[in-house]
Amino acid sequence: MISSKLFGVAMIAYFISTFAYIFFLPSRKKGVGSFASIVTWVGFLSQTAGLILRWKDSYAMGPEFGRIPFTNLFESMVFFSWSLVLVYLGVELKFKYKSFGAFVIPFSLIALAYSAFLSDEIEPLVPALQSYWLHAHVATCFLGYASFAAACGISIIYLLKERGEKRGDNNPNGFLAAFPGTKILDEVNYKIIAVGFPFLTIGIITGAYWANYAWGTYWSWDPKETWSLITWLVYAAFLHARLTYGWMGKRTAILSVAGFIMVVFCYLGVNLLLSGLHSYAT
Amino acid sequence: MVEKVKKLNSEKTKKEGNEKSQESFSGGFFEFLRSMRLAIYLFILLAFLSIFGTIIQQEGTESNQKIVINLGFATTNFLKFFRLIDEPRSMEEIISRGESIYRFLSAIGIMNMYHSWWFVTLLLLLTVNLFLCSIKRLPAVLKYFSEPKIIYEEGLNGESKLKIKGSPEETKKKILEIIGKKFSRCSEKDVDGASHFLFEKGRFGRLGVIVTHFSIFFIFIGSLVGSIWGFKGFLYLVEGEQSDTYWDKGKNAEAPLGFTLKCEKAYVTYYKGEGKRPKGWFSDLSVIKDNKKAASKVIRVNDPLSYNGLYFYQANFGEGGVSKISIEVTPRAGGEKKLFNVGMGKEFNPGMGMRVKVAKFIPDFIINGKEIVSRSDELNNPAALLDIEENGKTFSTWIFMKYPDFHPFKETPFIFKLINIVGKNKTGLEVVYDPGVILIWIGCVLLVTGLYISFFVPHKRIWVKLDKSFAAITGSTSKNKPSFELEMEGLVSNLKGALK
Repeated sequence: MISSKLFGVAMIAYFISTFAYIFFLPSRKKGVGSFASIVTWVGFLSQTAGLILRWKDSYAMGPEFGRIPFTNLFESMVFFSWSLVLVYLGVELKFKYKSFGAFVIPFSLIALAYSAFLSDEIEPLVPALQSYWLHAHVATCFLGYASFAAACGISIIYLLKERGEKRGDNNPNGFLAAFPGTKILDEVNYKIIAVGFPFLTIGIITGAYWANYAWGTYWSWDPKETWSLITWLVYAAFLHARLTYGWMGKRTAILSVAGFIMVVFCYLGVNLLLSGLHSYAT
Repeated sequence: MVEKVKKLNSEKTKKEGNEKSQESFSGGFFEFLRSMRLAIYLFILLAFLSIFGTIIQQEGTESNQKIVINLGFATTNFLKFFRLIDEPRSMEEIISRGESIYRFLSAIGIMNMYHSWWFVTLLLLLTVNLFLCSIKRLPAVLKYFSEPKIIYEEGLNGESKLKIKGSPEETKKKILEIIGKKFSRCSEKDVDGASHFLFEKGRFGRLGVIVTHFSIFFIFIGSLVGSIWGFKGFLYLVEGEQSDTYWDKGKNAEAPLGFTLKCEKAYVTYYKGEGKRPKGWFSDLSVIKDNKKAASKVIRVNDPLSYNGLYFYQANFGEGGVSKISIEVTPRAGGEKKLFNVGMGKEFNPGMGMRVKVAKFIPDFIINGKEIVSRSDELNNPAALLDIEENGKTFSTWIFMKYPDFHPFKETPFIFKLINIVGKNKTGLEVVYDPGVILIWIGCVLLVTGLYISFFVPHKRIWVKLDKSFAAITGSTSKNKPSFELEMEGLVSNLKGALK
C-alpha cells in the first residue's frame, strides 16, 4: 500500500529532524533549525497524504468498507503521531522556538515507529464503531493527547533548564542556553494545556454522548472512561493550582509530566493491560 | 513623554492574597468546605481512588462466579510471586481464596466502588465544594458588571502619561475614537475636574469560571436524577414474539413496560469477503399500545428506538430456536421432487393420503445412553422427528440433514430429506429510561462554553484619566498578559501620534 510507504517516508523524516533538532541545541545555527523544520514539514505532509490515501483506500475496497483511518491500534498510533506533529508545528509557528523540537518530535517518532510493528491491514468497522461520532470523538481526544504530549516535552525542558540554572550553569554556549527562559517555558506549557484540556473535555463528552446513543449509558466506569477521567482530574488540578493557587514553575511542570503519564496509560495501558468496552482498539 | 509599558497589573496575585487571608483568619470547617485547597485534594484523591476500580474487575462486568475465579487466580499468583504460598493444589483452593478476597473487597465497597457510599460521598463533596466556591466568588464577579471601576488608579504598573496640546474636548474625542475602535464599552465619570474613562472588552470572560463550575453541578444533578427516577433493564425477544415486561436491573425483577414491544424480525448482515465479519445487527421493532401499532423502527447498534421516554438499544444477538424446516419429498416409484417448508408441529400432505408432522427438532443430535439429546445449541447435527400417518397406521422416524441416506424406514412410498433449517433469531435489548440525561447534556454544553470563555476570552480594561495638561493611561487583563502588553503599546503609540 502506498499509504504505508508514505508513513515510512514520514518516519524517516522525523528520524532526521529529531537529530537535526538535537544538533540545533548546541550549535544554534539558523540553517540547522530551518532544515529541521523543513524536514518535519515534509514528514508531516507525507503522513497527511498517507492518512488521506488510507481513507480513500478503504473506500476503494468497497463502499461498505469505507471509514476514517483511526479504528485500530496501527491507525491510532499513526494518527497520534500526526496530531502531535500538528500541535508541534502550530507551537513552532506561534512561539518561534525551534529548540522545543528536540523534546517533542521524538514522541512522534516513537509512536510512528511503534506502528510499524503492527498490522496495517484495513479492516471494516465493527458495528459499534459505525457512527459519525467516531470522527469527533477520536479527533478531539487525540488533539488533547497530542497537546499534553507537547506540554510534557516542554515541561521536561523546563525541569532541565531550572536544574541547570540552580547549578549556576549559565554557559551561553551550552545546550540549555538554546531554550527560552523558564518563565516563557512555564507560560508555553500552560498555554498548550489550556488548549489540550478543552479538547480532552470535548473528547470525553462526545464519547459520553456516543455511548449513550449506542449503549444507553453515558458513563459506565469502563477502564478507558475512568482513566480519561483520571487524566482530566490531574489537568483540572494543574489548571486550578496554576490559575488560582499561583503554582508556577517546577511544581506545575511536574504536574504536566505526571498528567502525560496518565495520558499514556489511558491511551495504551488500558488497551494493552485492561479489558473493557474499548478493547476493539487493540 | 511616554513611559515604556513594562508590566501590567496582575489581578491573579491580588485574588490569591484575598483568599489566603480569608482562610487563615476565619478558619473553620465551612471555610475549608468552600476552599480551593479542598478542590485540589479531591481531584487528586478521586483520581487516585478511581484507579482501583479499573484494576479490580467490577461487579456487573461479568458473572460473579467468573469474577471470583479471576480474583482467586490473581491473589494466588500475587502471593506465589512473593513466595508466601506454595503452588496451589486444587482449583477449590484458588476459588476459596477468591471467595474470601471477594467478601473482603465487597465489604469495603471496592467490588462496586464507583457506586460505594464513600466514592459517592467524595463526588458529592466535590459538588458541594464547587457550588460553595462559585457562590463565594459570585459577588466579586458580579461587581464587574454592576459597579465597574471607572476611577483611574494611580501608580499601577505600565502606566503611561501623555502631554496634551489641544483642548480637553478635542483630546477626549480623539481618545474615544482611537480606543473606541477596539474596545466597545466605555464608561465615563468626572471627578475633581478630571475625566475618567473605562474601556472594556470581554467582560463576560469573568463568567467563564462560574459557568464551568455550574456545568459540573448540572452534570452531577443529572446523574442523580437518573439514578433516582431512571431505570435500566433488559429484554430478550425471539423473532415474532412480543412482551409487555422487561427485566429491571435495579429491582432484579420483571417490570411492566406500559405497552407491548414486538420483535417482527431480527437479523445480521455481514461484510463481503472472507470470514464472517458482522456488519450490523438489526431488530425490526414495533410498539403496540391499545391494540394499535404506535411506533416502529428497525434499530441497530448506534441507532435505538425511543418511545415514551424509553429507549431500546441493540445490545445482544443470538439464536432463538427454529421457525421452519425444509423437507424434500421424493416418491420412491419415481416422479417429481416436492419441497415443503413447515413450521414446528405443523402437518403437511405429500400425497397418497399421507399426513406428516414435524414433531421435534434437535440442533445437535446425539444418543446419550437411551435418551436422545442435543449436545449443544449449535447446528452441528440437525435432526427432525417426523410423525407419519398412512392409512390409519402411524409411526415416527428421525431424518438427519448431514446424513440424508440414513433412513431406516423403507416402507413409506416417499423418501424424506431434511434440506434446510430456518432459524429464529433472538435479539437482546437494553431498556433505558433516564430523565436526567438532558441535564447531563445541558451541563456538557455549559462546560465546554465555560472552558472556552475562561481560557480564551480575557477581560481587558483600559483606564484613561484626562485633565487639563495630561492624559494618563493604564490597563489590565485577566489573562494573556504578553499579547495585551503589545496591544497597549500599540494603542499608546497611536494616541501619542494623534495627540501631537
